[in-house]
Amino acid sequence: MSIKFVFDNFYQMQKLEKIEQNKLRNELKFLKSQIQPHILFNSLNNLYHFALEKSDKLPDLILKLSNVLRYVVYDAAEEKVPLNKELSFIKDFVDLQKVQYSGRGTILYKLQKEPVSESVKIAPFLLIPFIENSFKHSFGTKIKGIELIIDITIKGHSISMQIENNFEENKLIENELIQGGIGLQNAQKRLEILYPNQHKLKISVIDDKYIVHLNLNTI
Amino acid sequence: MDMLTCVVIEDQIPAQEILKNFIDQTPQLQLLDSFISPLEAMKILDNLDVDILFLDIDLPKLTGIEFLRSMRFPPKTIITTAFSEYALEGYELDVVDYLLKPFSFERFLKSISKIQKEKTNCNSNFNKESIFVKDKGQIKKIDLRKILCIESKGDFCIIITDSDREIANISLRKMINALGPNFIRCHKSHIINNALIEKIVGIQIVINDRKIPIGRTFVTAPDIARQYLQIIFCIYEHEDYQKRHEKV
Repeated sequence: MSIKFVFDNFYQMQKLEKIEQNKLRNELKFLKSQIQPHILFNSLNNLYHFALEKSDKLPDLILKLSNVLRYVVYDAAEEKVPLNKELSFIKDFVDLQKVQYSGRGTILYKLQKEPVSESVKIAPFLLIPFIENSFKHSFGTKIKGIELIIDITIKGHSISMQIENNFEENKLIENELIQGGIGLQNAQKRLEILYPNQHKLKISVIDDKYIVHLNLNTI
Repeated sequence: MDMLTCVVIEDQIPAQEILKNFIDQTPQLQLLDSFISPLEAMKILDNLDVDILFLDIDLPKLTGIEFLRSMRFPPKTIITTAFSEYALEGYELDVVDYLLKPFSFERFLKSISKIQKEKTNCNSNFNKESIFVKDKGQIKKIDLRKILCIESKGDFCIIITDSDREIANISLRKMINALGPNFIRCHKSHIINNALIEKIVGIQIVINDRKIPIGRTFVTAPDIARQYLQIIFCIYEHEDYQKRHEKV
């Protein structure tokens, strides 16, 4: 009787583990698709504006958006991508956001790196949720005077990213913040699953500044 | 046509520019101001007569949907957004239209004409009590409730009231547009006051012993057909009312 119980229990445990693994895989898949369609349509709308104005900025922006789209559609399906690709995706993404929010503050993007070898790889969309969140946090709570700094340093296989954004506390937008919170939580979960013991994430709030500091060893 | 005043709430500058540009190109529209957040727009919406509100959903401090919910008497609202998933919620909040970014100028105009139609149908005529008619160098005020019917005579109209007749230098088509929803064009050359119909005999409407023909095309044309049904419906309602009274 008790043996059967133990056996059943073991069998159950195995089953549970399988379910857990599946769940994890699904979760990873789910967590990966971070760029929401409305962001792309908003970008298209910005390009549409420049097209109506017959602006010289348009060709460059079209290239940026197609780079972003290519990354989202093709590279995001890979388990790992060259770090260079993720970085140029981030650059283009930030540039498109700059256009969208022009006139409401300053967005600074700094990248320090020595030539990064193609062999340095990273799980795609790992860094972008933190960046997306900082945009949402600043531009969702403040009307003007936004200050957003993204500072990325690459040394060999290690990445150090610091994002700083100002925000305004407001009870009315609690909902939206919780949503932003979920985005961050997902990103953290993904880090823990993919890079256990290889990363250090520190999030702090100093006055009206929200600071994310991530160190990641990609090996 | 009166100018329609607009306010834009949109947190992305290029998207704001598109709307400003489209409003500029539309002669009937006048932009009062544009804002990044609903909180900035509250004051102007409280104090000024705003006909149309262009409202984005994803906005700083307060979403467009929350803002719309918070307003007791919101203006006619056109939602402009890149999110397609909010359409249903928007319709529940009784918005006029839902423009998915990016949208064309033609699509934008379609929204505006929706508002113009609604405005001419209800706002301007609904509470109208009288009209002014120009004739022989003088302008006369005529109480709408007293008009029995209006008959066309060439380029003129004869307005028949319970005690008088007035000649107005206006076509019947223009006349029907100036009158309230109580008036029906039932024939090529006749307009009647729906409220004063006594009975319908065959294809004739009787008002104050006057027999007014119902034109065939005006019965079958969709709008008129509806109004014709409305007349019949009114009659049934009236009969129903009488029956109930008899029972009591």
